[in-house]
Amino acid sequence: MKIAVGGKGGVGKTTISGTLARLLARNGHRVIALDCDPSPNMGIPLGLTHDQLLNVKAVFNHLVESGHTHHDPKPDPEHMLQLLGTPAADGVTLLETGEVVRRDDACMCCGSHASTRSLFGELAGDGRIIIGDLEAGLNDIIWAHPASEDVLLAVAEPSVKSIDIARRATRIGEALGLTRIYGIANRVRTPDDERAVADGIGRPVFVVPEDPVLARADLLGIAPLDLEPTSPAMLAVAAIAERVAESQTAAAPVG
Amino acid sequence: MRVAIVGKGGVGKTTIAGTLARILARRGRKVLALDLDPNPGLGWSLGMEPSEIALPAGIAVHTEGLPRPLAWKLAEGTTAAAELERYAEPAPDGVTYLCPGKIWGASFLEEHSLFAVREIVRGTTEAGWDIVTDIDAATAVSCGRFLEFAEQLYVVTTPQRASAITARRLQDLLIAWPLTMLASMSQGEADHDCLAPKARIPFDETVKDADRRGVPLIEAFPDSPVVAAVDELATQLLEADAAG
Repeated sequence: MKIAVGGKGGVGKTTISGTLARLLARNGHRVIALDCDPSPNMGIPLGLTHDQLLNVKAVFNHLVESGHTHHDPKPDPEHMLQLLGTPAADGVTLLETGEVVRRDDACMCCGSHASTRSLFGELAGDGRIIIGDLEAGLNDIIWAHPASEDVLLAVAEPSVKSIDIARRATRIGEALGLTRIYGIANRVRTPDDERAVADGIGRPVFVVPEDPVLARADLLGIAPLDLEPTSPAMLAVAAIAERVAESQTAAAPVG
Repeated sequence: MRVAIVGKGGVGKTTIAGTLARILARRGRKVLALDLDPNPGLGWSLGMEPSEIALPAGIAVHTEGLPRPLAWKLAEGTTAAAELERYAEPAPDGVTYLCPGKIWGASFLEEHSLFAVREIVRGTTEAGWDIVTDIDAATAVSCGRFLEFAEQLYVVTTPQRASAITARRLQDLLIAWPLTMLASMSQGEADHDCLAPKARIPFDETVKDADRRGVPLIEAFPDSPVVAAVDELATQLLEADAAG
């Protein structure tokens, strides 16, 4: 099973997808957290320390350092996972597709996108869950190119800008033939907030309430799930984990 | 003057860019708000619906065999001024808005649209424009030479850890540029000190209210301390510009 998480920058994609990865792992799934952001930070909700996070080697960076060019990022996904997968909390394995760093000999953004494409596309989803925390905005959904059986989570907060982008994200999912597209309304404070996101995206949404625990965890430098696992936002992500896992069972071919 | 604003997603780049463009225009400057983000955003902050204009093929032409950033030039017979006139859209307060296009559907923004805009901006630098550029989130900005025209790059951070991590990565990536750190959503003196911000833009609930309604901050809450802080930034920019 593969889950792509997209939306405007700053809406909470990384916190939600990292927490979702851990909760799915706690429910017994084998989970790979694929950080597709060119400025990767999915290690934060996955419980890595600051130094651990900065020391993760991304796939495309490894390829460039071993002599590949940005036109030739053809990793064997399983080999990359074995080589560069980083153990994170709750048994999740973290893999970063590419971090844009200063280099004169390779286009890091093209290369990291190409790695996102090949890793999200080619890592087999059988028997495990791959959660792609995509780069902000719409480009990376097209790069990752989820297949029709994959899940797309379009995250928005109650703002016109982020709802506009989430609506466009669902359009991309529809154009790619996905049937499991879900909206997530994050930082919801009132029923009007939820309605604004659901109406704007044009489909029902999972609700994640505004939760001061997240800012406090950030300040303390720990994952919100470790600070307060039963805070309102964490419980809401747990509910999403259950629903997404159920949708997998429901969609599985009979027999 | 030519400024561009970069930083992690959600730190306030677009609100700052839109507000700065309108303040400069209100002070009588000729302002081009340049939207290099293929995701809609700056239009909302300026007070326009998202543009659906995409610069068509043919304005910029590609020469085979050259490295990608150098391979694109304006087509013969076209001029930057004429294409700007044709594709720029009017925004409130007399701001001129230009973007290469927006993603709507499962296809990328065409490369020719992006490079056409870059070449239009290159060709427009002598005409007395102030250019305020909003860029997409994170760190891919160093590619494509889209920012070579910028004389000043603002890196926006918030007290959030991830935004500081991105800002440090940008400092390293954009080592050749004159960078200025802007502390956005600042709630205290200590929250950004490791990055030595040159200006602080305070946290203000009204920004969320304006975003919720999809209206420009400067219209919805003209007395917001965020507007006051960006106004001060405009003053500093104009003073620096006057000093040459």
